[in-house]
Amino acid sequence: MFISQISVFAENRPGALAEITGLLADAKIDLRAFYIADTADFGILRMIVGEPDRAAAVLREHNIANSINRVFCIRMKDVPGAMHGVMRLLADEKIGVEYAYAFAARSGGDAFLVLRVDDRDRAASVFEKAGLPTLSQDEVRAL
Amino acid sequence: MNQYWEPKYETMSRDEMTALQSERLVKCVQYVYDRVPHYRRKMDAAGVAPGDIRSIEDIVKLPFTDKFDLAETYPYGMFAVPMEEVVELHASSGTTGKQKVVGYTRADLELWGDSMARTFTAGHLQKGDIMHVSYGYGLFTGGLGGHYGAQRVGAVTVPVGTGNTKRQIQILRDFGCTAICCTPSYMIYIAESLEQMGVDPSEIKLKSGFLGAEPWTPAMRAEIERRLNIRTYDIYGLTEVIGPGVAFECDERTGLHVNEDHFYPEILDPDTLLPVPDGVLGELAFTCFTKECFPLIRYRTRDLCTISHEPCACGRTLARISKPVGRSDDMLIIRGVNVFPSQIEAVLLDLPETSPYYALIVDRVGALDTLEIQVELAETAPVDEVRAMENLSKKLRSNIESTLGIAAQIKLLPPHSLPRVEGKAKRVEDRRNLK
Repeated sequence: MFISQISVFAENRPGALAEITGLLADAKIDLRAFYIADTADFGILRMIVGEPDRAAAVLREHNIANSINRVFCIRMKDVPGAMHGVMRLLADEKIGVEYAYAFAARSGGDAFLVLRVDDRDRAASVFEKAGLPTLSQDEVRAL
Repeated sequence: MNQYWEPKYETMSRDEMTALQSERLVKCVQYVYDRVPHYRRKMDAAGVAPGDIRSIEDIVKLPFTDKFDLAETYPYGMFAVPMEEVVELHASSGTTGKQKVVGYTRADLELWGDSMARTFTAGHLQKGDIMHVSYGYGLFTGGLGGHYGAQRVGAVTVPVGTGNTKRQIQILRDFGCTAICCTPSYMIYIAESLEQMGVDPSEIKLKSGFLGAEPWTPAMRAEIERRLNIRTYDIYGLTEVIGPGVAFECDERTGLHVNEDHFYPEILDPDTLLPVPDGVLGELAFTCFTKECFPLIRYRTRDLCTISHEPCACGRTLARISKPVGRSDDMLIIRGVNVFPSQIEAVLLDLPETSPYYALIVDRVGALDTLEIQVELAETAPVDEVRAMENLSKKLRSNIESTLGIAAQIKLLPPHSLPRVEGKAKRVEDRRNLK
């Protein structure tokens, strides 16, 4: 139902991101999705990877603090209106979206929506009832 | 020309001054021994009796007083008179977490007024002058110190206080103020604001500025004098001693004359705490002989400077201290406010989301000091949430502001991003270039 997302707090300065991506590259960590939330003062880097535990350990080893959070990863058809289907569902149930970002599959015409909501448990049952497929960690690794 | 306010004291021979200081010290030591239990305990512990003090040379036998004594006796434990005789309180912030509270009797206020009158008279303030007091009024001693001094001289005193620069400029121009006292950085800010408002400096009648309460450079002085076409006088003081009025500059600009008939200066080797000869840099300590409510015995200011007892070309014989070149502790003066890094550390330790690793960047943008606090997040901080991080930043800013009394920029840093050093951490970067 949920997958692991790694978050890293990054300073706003040139090179801050390269330090992190460099470590992941050296460790041959395959990035599925990569998203930066930025504010005037800092950035928060969010990543979906095949092996989150290993990635977290690599970062920690190099003193880069990170946290692992449980988020939804919803499989959608990569067609117009697919995103709206998910959003309308949440809106009808008055479930708030804290953040979301999407990525496309390498093949198969599917898109994936990473989603964090304010009421995770209710969202889970809404998705289940609506028959929206959410990925497991194993499925992410296999992408 | 009224060159001195109290010529008898300002120009007395060294021998006369030494005799006066000896007489006053003997009296003062007996006074504090009789009236302030804290001094009595310290003298007893050091094995010094009032009778051991027979002249000013004996001062070295007395124990020092410092900020910890004031914290221990907070708020009124160092007062030597009953509250019935106290007519005013002032206070300044301290690293101990407790304010330093200082009381004044009516006679102490007279003394303060005279000390500031000497200061202003050295800068040619006289009756008919209009003094714009732009130091803060309140617990800070700047505002009322300037106020009492100007009134003592008989100048017209305009109690403006701080803030609202546009209005201050209007007052300067419309009221025809001829003198001002404020911080040097505010003076520059006024000069810049005049230009922005399109006010020609010739519309302002200012002749002199009595500037202090924060470090300033010869370059700043030159800029102020050029832009405003005024003559500036450096002033020195601290709340514990009396406020402004402890030492002042004359036209010679060869150091600041200490009102040493009241506030006896010693320059001490910071390590041995033994007196150093004239011209050698050391820590400044003061003994206040004559204050009724808050006499002080060998109070360590932590300011580093030199002293000269040579008579000055202005005719004064009062010893001169150099402008303090630094501190023997880690206190910073930012926008005229005393800031101790330990105060900031206490705020950080209070919040679980922050680590005690931090760096302070002090800079000057235009004429105003800025403080940036770089804070490392704790490992457990909720770094996934932008809002939580922004709220943390906001909370830090408000906690810092209420603790220090000045605003600071907060920069959150990832955990482990600041250098770890063995021993005493260098946490302060002062980019103001005040030397």
